[in-house]
Amino acid sequence: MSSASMGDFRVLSDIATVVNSTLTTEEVLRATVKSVTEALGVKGCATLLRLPGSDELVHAADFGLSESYLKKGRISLGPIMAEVCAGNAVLILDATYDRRVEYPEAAREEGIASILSVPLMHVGEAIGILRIYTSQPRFFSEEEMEFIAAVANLSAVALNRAREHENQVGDLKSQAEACSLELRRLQEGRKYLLRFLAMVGHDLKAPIAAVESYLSVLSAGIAGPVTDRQKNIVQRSSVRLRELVALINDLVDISRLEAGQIPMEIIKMAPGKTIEAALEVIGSLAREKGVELLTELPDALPEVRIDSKRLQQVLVNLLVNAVNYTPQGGTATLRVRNGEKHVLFEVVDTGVGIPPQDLSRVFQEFFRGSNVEPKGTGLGLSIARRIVEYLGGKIWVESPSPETGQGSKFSFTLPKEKSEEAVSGVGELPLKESLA
Amino acid sequence: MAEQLKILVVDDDPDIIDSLTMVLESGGYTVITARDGEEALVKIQTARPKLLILDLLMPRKDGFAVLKDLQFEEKWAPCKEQMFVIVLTSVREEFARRRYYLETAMELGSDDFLEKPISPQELLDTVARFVRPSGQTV
Repeated sequence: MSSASMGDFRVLSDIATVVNSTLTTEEVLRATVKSVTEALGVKGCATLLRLPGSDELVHAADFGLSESYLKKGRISLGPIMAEVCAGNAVLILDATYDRRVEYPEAAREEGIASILSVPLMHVGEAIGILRIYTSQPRFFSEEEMEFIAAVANLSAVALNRAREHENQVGDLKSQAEACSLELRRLQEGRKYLLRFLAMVGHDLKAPIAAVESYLSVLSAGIAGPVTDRQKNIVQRSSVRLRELVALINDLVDISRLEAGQIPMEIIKMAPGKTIEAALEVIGSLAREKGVELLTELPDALPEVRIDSKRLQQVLVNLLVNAVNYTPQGGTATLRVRNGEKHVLFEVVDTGVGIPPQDLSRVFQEFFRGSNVEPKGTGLGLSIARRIVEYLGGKIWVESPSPETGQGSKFSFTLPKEKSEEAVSGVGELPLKESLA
Repeated sequence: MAEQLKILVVDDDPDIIDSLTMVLESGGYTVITARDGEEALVKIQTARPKLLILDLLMPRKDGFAVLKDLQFEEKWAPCKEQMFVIVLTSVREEFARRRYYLETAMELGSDDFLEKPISPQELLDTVARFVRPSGQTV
């Protein structure tokens, strides 16, 4: 092989390497025009790009030519360009005299003699033009033309791929921008919502506190003598107000849980005191309803990762349900079992149970059983579920209870060690989809 | 002749003030009132109450600020020596915050606390641990 063609192959492989490694259109083109100029020993080389969907070309890269010669800006398709874009190479032997050249004086000033224009074709369409400028009038040999054609093809492929890639990157960038804008908006919205909830909670409860204070004054006969009937009315009103406060607290709680903000301080501790506290809270209600509270606890309670107040909330919610839906003379049992990786809590009652069609919906907000009178806020189980899941555990219900064939059995697990599912520490869950 | 013992009740909610006043007066106490921390400090100085029942969350100057002034400022020392303080916690805050507020208040020199809404009996029982009507202290 002649040294010239060895050089050609090297240039081609150089261009190929450049084309494969760099991705910006400019870099591809600049590498190409430089390589071509040096390989052919000509004055200079330039690439013009055809603007998509138009008859105009722009200079995209150049080598060996002066600023003043290259008309920056758009070039409209003259007769030469039109022919090249149809797929043919066109050689102007002497640019200083050729009628087809628009500015022969400029060519003379620049020292340009011949201009070869070669199309860059992609799928039968010219996406640009490669122009080679010489300082002496000359023809190009067949070998050189083959080489130039090969460069042109390679450049066209690379060019097209680079442009496609840039389009994709551009699309991805604008998508990413849109996403991050949306995320910012959602975070702002969430911050606002949480502040709003805190305010609403306070604004709703303060007047209730004032009314409750007045009612207790009334009921105690402090504002004057009170008949039994009046006292009864006032006391029943107070009960309804306390329901209202409980509902407000639950609603604020649920909204914060839903918004991913769960004020929790998770530490590893044995839940003994927490269980005691929960039982104490339930104690008077159970006595009132004539339901017996039983416990089955292991001698040594293992440590679990919990927020004590939140665990108490879960236990109270489950026990309240057990007691409320069990008739007088029945029992509600709290059982704790130590497992290898988890601790299992069970609340079993001998109550009315849950019909099979309701079983799957029991943990939803405001769920009301089809077989009972509504009691409480309807949010207790939903809150319990969220807390358990946040702590990395699972909660489920069986009805009738497999042990007694009646009533319900609510079970939940809590992990003893940090698990992948659990999110620890005080703070916020990642933003969930359902913020609406 | 013993000066009439006064209880100063401070809360930004006028209805709460009203309820508390009715209960305390039914227990035989003399009550004066204030709507915020600034007014409270003025009345402490002029009326020298024996017992201060102080809401924690108020505009302008809140309960904490009052407690801090009473505990750390020289000029309040004489008043503070002679006076008991019971703080009121609000229904507004959730339990964790409430516990924190209480602990802080106790550290700042409060003698006891009551949680709103307050039952008349609980109020009278708590107050009776510190003062009795007509000028006697416990």
